[in-house]
Amino acid sequence: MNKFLMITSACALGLGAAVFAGQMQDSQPKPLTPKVGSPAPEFTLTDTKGTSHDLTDFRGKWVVLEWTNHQCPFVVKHYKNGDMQNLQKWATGKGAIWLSIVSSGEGKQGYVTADQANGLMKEKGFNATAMLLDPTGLVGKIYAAKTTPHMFVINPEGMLAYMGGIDDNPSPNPDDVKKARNHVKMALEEGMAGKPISVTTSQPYGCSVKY
Amino acid sequence: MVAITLALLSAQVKPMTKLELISSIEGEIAITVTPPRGWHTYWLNPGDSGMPPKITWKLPAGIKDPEIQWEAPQRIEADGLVSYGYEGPMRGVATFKIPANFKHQWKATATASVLVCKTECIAQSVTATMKFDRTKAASIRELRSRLPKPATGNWTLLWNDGRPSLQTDHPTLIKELFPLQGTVLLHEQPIRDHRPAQGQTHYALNASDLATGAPKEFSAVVRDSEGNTFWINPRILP
Repeated sequence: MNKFLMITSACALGLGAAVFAGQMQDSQPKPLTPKVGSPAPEFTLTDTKGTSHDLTDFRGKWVVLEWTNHQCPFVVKHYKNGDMQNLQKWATGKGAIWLSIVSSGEGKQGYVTADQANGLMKEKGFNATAMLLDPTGLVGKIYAAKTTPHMFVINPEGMLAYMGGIDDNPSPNPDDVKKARNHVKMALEEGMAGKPISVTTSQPYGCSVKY
Repeated sequence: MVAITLALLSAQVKPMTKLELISSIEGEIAITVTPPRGWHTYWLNPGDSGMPPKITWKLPAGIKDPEIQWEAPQRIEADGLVSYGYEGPMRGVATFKIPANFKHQWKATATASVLVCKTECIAQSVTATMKFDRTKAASIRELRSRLPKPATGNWTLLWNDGRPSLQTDHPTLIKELFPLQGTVLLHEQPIRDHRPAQGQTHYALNASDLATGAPKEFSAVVRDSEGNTFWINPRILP
């Protein structure tokens, strides 16, 4: 994608111009990577029901972004026993917004149409607020989403509060989920209680995002 | 549907990852993990994506889990992401401490849990039992000679206001650096540039987006301009 198209696409998606500040000297511009403590990059994406979601609509609430690919063994690990669904239910029950994002390109592992995604969500008992479709990978690249899962927590002021792995156990075994420290749950618990978040970054693990 | 898809994917990659354990001298086992052709495995720090290998041992009472040294990884790029791993066999040497009073013949069984990826990823576990083969002594010695050695000389990691650098009197130029910790340096390009500095070489490094300050610990495998590989454990100056 050339520079012009990149900027046009970004504007069409309502992306903040600041995201690209200072990055235009290269022939292939890269967005600024998100940083904990800095504003979370803004975006607009359409969900599997056809509803458009703008990140700024959720200002005042905690927001979780979950990059997902239903065919990745590490995503399967967290959904097989209902752990991710339970975490989504717990978080949204506390008032948080949970957005699952699919950035797999068409023809790549994990790519889903809206209908396929709706079927999967029903089958797996998703409790996320919405599943957003990002087949161009633009939002994934703006967030530098590298793995599935790759998690981001945004505070009510729109600042990035956590980014990294879902937990501290990089194994594909579903039975290991309960032995791990869940960084997303801890970040939400601490943040919602007004406490400093004890782990703000960690190395994400899993399959690469199939852009 | 997911289960069916995974089953189909597994069927496509037969034969599976292979594991071989060969010993030629007491207390040492050469490990070879070979993914299906065209697939790759990951190093201890897998980089932007992936999973470190996990080896679990079944050993006689009295023998503890070994230390394993792996060959230096290679850089693997896909979809703009950089991983550290092995596109062919992943080789290492496990060194056991055998108690002096351990008289009887011993046997080791290991299970390697690895993530293998091509365009998609599959987690695989494969088990093997050690074979004792004295004729392999030379090839295991040769493998050991290729493992990264402890670096000599002085190494210092400086962390100046979020801008890391490495200073060393190592005589040859460092061409590649593979950080063991995944949240310290940018996997895509750990080394930005280098310049001579008072008889030493100063390497400007790129900090990881996940770095939150000077690391508490840092070690890495480096490959120099002559292809030699070393483990470095620099002194850290915040």
